[in-house]
Amino acid sequence: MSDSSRTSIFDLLLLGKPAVEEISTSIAIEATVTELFEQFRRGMLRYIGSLGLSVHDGEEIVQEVFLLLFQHLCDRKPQENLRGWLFRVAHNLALKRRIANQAATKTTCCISADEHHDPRPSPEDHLFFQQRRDRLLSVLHALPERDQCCLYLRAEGLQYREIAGVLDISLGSVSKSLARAIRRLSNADRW
Amino acid sequence: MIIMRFEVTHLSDEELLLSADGELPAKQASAVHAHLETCWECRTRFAEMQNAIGDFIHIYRERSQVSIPPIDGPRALLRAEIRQFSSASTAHAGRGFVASTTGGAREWAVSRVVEKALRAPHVVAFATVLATFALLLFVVHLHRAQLSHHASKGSSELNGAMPQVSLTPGETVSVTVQDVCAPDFPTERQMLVPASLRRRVFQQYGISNPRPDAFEVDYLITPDLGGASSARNLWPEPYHNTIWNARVKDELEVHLKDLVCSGKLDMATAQRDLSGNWIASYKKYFQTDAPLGKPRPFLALLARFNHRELVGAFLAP
Repeated sequence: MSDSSRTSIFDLLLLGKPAVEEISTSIAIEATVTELFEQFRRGMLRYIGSLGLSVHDGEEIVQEVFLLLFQHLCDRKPQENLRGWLFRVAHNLALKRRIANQAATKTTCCISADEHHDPRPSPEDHLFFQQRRDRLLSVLHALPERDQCCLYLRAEGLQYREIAGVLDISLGSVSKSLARAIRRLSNADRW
Repeated sequence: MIIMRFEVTHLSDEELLLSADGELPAKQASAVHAHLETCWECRTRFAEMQNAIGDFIHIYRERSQVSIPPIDGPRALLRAEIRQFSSASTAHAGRGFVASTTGGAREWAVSRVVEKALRAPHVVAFATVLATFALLLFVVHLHRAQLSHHASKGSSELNGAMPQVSLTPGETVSVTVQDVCAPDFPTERQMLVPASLRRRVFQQYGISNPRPDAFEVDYLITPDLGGASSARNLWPEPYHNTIWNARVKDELEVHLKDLVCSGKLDMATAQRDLSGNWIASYKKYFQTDAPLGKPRPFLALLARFNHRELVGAFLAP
């Protein structure tokens, strides 16, 4: 969100505005929400997918998150660090959805080894790449879920304090989780 | 002892990562950089970590390239949902923005909870049983209604086909032609009228304890053409009206939407044609004095209903 749009929303969110300005407020908030949707949808879908949910589930959750954001902004709640807010709400909704899905069918967490097929033409290259990739994925899957979540959120560009906020853990836990995860991925080639 | 001292002076993985991510305080960061300049061991480990990050990112990014659909549809859906949410909020006229937003949110939440519940297979199965039961009731009721209709044919043809203008003048939300014509724009069938809103519509029309099979709470201006989900755009349309009924109105709505989306009619005119005298509009657009469709056979009745409407009817007070 640009500084100018944030300022205009703050201006419009002042109490006691007449009805016409309320409509203006609603329109300004809708524009902000749409802008943030365009900016973060893809990353949020990736993150939700990494928690073991389908793209369909992810789309529904992202819609839900941005409607909640619209309500959040209409209710004049804090607007600091909306990226962290978005990922935190998405994380919580995704975990709830996963529990609901697991009640129906057993799902596996995170990116699966056979989910994607690499289109490289050379069979040798393909085999080498595929083996290495599978090795990395198996290391990734073996990580504690918190470590995986830290990795995915960091990959989406979140800073450590934002990750700590999303997962409700301390800053120290974030750096320990990330360092452990990266070290294990790094050791995956030593075989 | 020398080896021990050497190991102690190395940087930890955590320090290396914090440094790479710019998360260290300036003083500590410069100390780490100074160490890396002099220590091959730490620099190698640092490079390994960077490679591991690169590998991870490569795998992680694959996901989005493969499976994430284009943004256009989801963005149009989000806008439509926001506008429906807003219109539900502004329906609470005479109150402050916050209060009206909260009130609208409640109705909106009810609608979404019901919609979500309907996605669950066991709820759909339950709804199917209810639908079968409701259809049986409906067929019996229709038979009775047709008998009474033939007995008092004439003025009763229009009874309930038109809303009271003072109560239901028609209301729209702010949408563009591009929005309504987008393939993912939610249709009227997907816009379940929340139970609380249905209750309010019945109250306004002085109908207490309506039978679920007696009325359909219908949109005057269809949401397919920007109609709002508010009491001013809804009215209880009796099912016993067998001539100018909701199915006939649906034909007009589909025709108007086709005209709007093909650029032959502007949306404001289409909305006016629905909010004014829709029967006159039907006659005008189809060049007829009577509905074109044949009397509804049983299968057409089945097609007219979906499980949402039936469950919605049962959720009504």
